[in-house]
Amino acid sequence: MAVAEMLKVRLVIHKSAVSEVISTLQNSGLMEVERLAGDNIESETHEHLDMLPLPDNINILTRLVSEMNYIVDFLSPYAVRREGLLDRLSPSRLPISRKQFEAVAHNYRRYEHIYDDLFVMENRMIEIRNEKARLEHDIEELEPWRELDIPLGDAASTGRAMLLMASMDEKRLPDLIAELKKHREPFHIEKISAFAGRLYFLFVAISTDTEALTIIHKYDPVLWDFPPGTPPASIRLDQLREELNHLEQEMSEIEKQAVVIAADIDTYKAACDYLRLELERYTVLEKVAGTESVTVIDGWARARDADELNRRVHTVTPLAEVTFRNPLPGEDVPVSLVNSRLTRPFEIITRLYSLPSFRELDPTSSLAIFFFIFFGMALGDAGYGTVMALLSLAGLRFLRLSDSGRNFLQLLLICAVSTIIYGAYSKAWFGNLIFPDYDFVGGFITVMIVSLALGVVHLIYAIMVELYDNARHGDRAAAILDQGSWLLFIAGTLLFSLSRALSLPAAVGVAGNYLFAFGALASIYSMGRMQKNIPARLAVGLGTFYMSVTGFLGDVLSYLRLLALGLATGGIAVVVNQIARLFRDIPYVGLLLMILIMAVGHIMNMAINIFGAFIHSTRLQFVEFFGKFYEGGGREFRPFAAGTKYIEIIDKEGAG
Amino acid sequence: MDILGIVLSFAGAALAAGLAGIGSSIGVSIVGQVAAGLITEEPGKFGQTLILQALPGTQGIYGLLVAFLVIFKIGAIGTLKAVTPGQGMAILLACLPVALVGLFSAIAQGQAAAASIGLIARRPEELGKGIIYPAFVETYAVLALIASILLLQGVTL
Repeated sequence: MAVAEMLKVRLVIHKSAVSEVISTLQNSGLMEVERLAGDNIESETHEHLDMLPLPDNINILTRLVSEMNYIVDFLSPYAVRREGLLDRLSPSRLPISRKQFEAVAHNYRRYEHIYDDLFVMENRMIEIRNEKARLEHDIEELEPWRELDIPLGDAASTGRAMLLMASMDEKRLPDLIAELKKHREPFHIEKISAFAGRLYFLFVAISTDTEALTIIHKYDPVLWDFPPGTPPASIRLDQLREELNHLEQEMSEIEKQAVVIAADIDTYKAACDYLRLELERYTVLEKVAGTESVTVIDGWARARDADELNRRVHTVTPLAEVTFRNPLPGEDVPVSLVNSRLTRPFEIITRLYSLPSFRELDPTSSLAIFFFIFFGMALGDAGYGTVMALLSLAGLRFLRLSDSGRNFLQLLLICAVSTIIYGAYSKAWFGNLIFPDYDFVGGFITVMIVSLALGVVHLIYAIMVELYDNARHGDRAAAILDQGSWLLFIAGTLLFSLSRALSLPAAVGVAGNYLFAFGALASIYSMGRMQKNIPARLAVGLGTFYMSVTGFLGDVLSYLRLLALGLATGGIAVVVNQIARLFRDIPYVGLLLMILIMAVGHIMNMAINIFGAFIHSTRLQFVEFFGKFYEGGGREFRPFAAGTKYIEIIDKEGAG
Repeated sequence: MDILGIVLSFAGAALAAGLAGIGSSIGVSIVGQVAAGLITEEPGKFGQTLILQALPGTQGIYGLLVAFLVIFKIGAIGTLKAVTPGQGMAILLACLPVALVGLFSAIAQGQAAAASIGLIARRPEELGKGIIYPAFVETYAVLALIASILLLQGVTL
């Protein structure tokens, strides 16, 4: 249960050594650099310090990094994938030696022309895509007119006759013809084709017959008009198809070219990382201040890393001074958590809520034990626990994981152990697959009592943590009055009700009664103590006390979700088995079907319930437990380090 | 054999699985629609939205669980037991908490989860909190499930 001790670091460096020191900081990853500007330059001690002018090449570097990013992003889809399934699950970073790394990076002038080439290629690809879309649209429009063998450009009205190329809803054609016949003027409809419920046709009438035009417009036609000189549809279609073919060929040529360039993608990735690291070294300069000959870098380091940081800096240069001091009240100290190997995975839960602030308790180890128990009960099937354990073990063994990924799988593994213990105790192995006498509702009342009891224990623990936290910060009054009296009240209530339920000696009950009464009075007093006059104290005290009691009861009932989730897992698992067994007696395929149904059913049930168990165990921590004492809001300690995206330097640099 | 008792029990099981299932499907759909909108802009958040979309799905499972408890109780798989109309009515009533609360809480939870999609659209690092808000709604579905199971336990055939 700890938030790491932090020290404020100040490096004072002669300007000739600045770049070495910054490289060292980046490679060691021990120090977070804090911006030394504005308010941070305290006027009386730093009146000679100024922001340093940034070197010009920072702009060049920024451009190069974005160009390299573009190259890598553009080429990635065209790079040959050598990787198997495993690599795709956990993409590996390319191992490379420091020497290779630097050699690659020194060629970056060459990469600029590749950037230009790719840029041209991409623009042409976009043009081609747009052009293709246009052609495809034209082809779609012309296709219905394929059977019309006159040049489309000639299909226009003459002096005496009007000619329309139109399409309309096929079903309404008889109505149109009937209406035109009623009109008693000559007309002709030449059907060309029918496509997707629409009829494509030529309509001919006398050019002065505006009435016919009005009639035909009532039927929502789409009218077609092709520019003069357009050849017949079939010929035009062939032309368009040919153009389309050309474009497709050009596209595949460009893609082939991209594949050729992408063969070197590893080099570009390395260069990208190299330039980024360099850019980061320069951007640190935005945060430092100095005089003409001296540069000052401020920041934070973990107390336990102080000596190492000091040593590393002094190995590269004698022209630097490192000083450490304890954080001052009111300073925004970054937070780094320290937990044992067993509780570290539970930091995920703490982080999900919020990191503790620097002066707060780290709740991780407290929540670990409860989370462990809750998850086991909520999932509660040893079979599922075993599958979970095997999967997370396999993941830990075979996948290349980031720290957070590793922690998550470890958390799953620990939770799986809890599940196996609880499931084995209640004989649940894939429901009743192994023990036919497993009865998932059998222990209903017992599990209900256990859930509620766990809730009471968890809540009392929360109050005790709150008490400890108050006492630690010197607020004895709050510790004794608020949490102390409340604890007495709960203890009294428990003694009293347990003595009834378990028929303990009468004295226990009596003692409980007194504790109960005393605790209640003390709570009412303490809750109202902020008020000035006696009636207000009484009213506020009673009101708050009533709310606290009902709140506590509500909190305890919330732990029934452990029972409900366990029941849901067990119930559905039993049902899966039951349904699967119905298929067993089908000849030949029965056994196969049964196994298939069981596999699918159990996998789904397991996935849903692992998810549910995780969420609800977390919720019990966040709402019922953290709600009592925890605030969070800490800022993560992010040391300045060589974070590469694509490559991994395999020969670790020695001292400095 | 008195068929009315069996019919009432069937009605209870059907309501539990049916109404809670309807609620979950609506809830999941509400989240899905909002999530699809977010994914058009940021495909990388698919995993996170999937978690939120799964949240209102549990009510359907609770309903199904109670339906199965009824099915086992009256022996609907295998040989039917004798159920008096009174017992049948009791079973039907016992199913109502999970059926009704399942129906409405899943929809409400879907709306809360949809709001959380909006939260992770802006601040993906706050997924934890985005899960907790809808998880609050589920408390009442859990309590209803407990009530239904307790009531069912109370009916002896």
